[in-house]
Amino acid sequence: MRVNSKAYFDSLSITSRLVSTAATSTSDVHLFAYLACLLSLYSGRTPQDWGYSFAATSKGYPFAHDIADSLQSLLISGCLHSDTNGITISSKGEEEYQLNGSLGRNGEREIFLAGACSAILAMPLGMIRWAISEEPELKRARVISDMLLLQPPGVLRIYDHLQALSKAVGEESSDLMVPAVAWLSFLAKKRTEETRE
Amino acid sequence: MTHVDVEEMKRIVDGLYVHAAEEAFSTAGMDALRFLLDKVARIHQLLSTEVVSHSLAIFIKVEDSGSVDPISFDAEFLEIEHLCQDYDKLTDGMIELLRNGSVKYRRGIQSDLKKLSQHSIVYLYRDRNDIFVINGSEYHAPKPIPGYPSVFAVPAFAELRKALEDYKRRVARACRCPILASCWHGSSPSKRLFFSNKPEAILRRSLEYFLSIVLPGADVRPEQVVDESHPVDIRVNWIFTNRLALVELKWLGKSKNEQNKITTEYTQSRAQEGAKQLADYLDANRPRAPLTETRGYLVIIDARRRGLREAAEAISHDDGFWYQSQEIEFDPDYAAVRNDFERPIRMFVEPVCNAS
Repeated sequence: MRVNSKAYFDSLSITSRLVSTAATSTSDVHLFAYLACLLSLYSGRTPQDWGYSFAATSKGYPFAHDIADSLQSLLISGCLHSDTNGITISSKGEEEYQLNGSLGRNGEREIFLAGACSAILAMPLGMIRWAISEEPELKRARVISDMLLLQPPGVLRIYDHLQALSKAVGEESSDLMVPAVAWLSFLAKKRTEETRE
Repeated sequence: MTHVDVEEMKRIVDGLYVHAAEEAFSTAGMDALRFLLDKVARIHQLLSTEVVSHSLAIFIKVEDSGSVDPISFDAEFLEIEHLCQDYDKLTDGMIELLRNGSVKYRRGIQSDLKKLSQHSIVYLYRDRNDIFVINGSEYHAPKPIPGYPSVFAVPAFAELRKALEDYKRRVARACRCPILASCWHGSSPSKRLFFSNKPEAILRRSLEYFLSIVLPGADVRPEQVVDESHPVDIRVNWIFTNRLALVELKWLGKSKNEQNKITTEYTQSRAQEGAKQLADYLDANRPRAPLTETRGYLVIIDARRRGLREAAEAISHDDGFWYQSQEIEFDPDYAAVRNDFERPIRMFVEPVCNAS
């Protein structure tokens, strides 16, 4: 199996960063990879720069084939373990993560991955998932199933959000945990209001 | 599409402690905040924070070398776990987190927290509220589910049964959910005697919201109720698996309309009907989804009150709690004879009674 090196690194980074979370499922890795990708757009990158693409499942959840392939490869090689409680990174996986992290091309990704995974320090995982499904592309995917994400014209709606977010947070903010938590809080508030109506 | 209101987003950002930490202390502040948040969550895991009756302040200096007002501590521990083992019921105290993992503790809050927050990030747990004190200002972290003592104490369940049992105890019993609180007849705060007319949608939304937050690995969504033969209210799908749960929700008690007239009364026979409907639906669903592992869950929101008359505006404790412990015996008992039918969960909602 040929794996995408960026998705491979992201899978290692996310499982390592979520190690203190009670249970990490494969769907969480897709979720945080997608959130990290959105933060890269916030920082002025394009979806193509991310190195792999996302689709929405019929239930409206982000999914990347390259992440799925990487997780499978990491499970086979023993870098990740899987049981009924979810997936965990092994010591071999941590070594692999450190090795790949030292490669210059992955250093920049860490900023986005760290920003995305830091959100879990501030809000429950269920709240993050609740919030992210209100993101314009995923919200649309709840109606139109199995669509590719971050494609024109849908991605323009994301840029609208990110522009507003940038104005609210201020350009001096350098730690991506701030826009990540701010945007998720905004989306969670919107979705909760809709549920109560 | 979600409308983007920049002003609304700005209001959210201005109230965020994460943003305040960066504004006040830049990168060092964010490093300190991450360290603090990790330990705060750990303390909520280890301690019965629900019984913290006063205030607990946990703080970390932004810079290790920063000057701090002298605080006299009672004890120092190598790890936070050791502190929690020694003080399993922390009340009214201060904890200083050190970067090497050790902690200091003193009973009672001695220091001026606003002054302390000039060079530290302070988390204050007070009256079941999460408050951050940063650079002299207080920031409240909103709680997604009021039934839990803290935003840092919201669990992540893997099993629906456990989540429903938690909903029963933390949310339904004392009606600790703004959505659920809106399903009662009469002015707020309600004594929870009568439901409002047709409360089904509100009950479903309350449970759907709760399950979405505490079951992060699952897709929780309402089902369109087509007719009585397709009764399922909520579908729970574990993401990327073939596991599916069908939740049927029934309510017992009396409902009233705006003219103050009783519109519906449901007794335990309603729960029996719900069980049969769910069993029939599971049977009908099996050929349609042969590869899906499906389980049925019957949830009964029980607000029955003894001898409740239409004109009643209050109730005694005896009458209000008459049904609290009266479990419903199902015949047939589907949970005993089928392997896809979970034991029904009755959730008694307590009324607010007259003082005796």
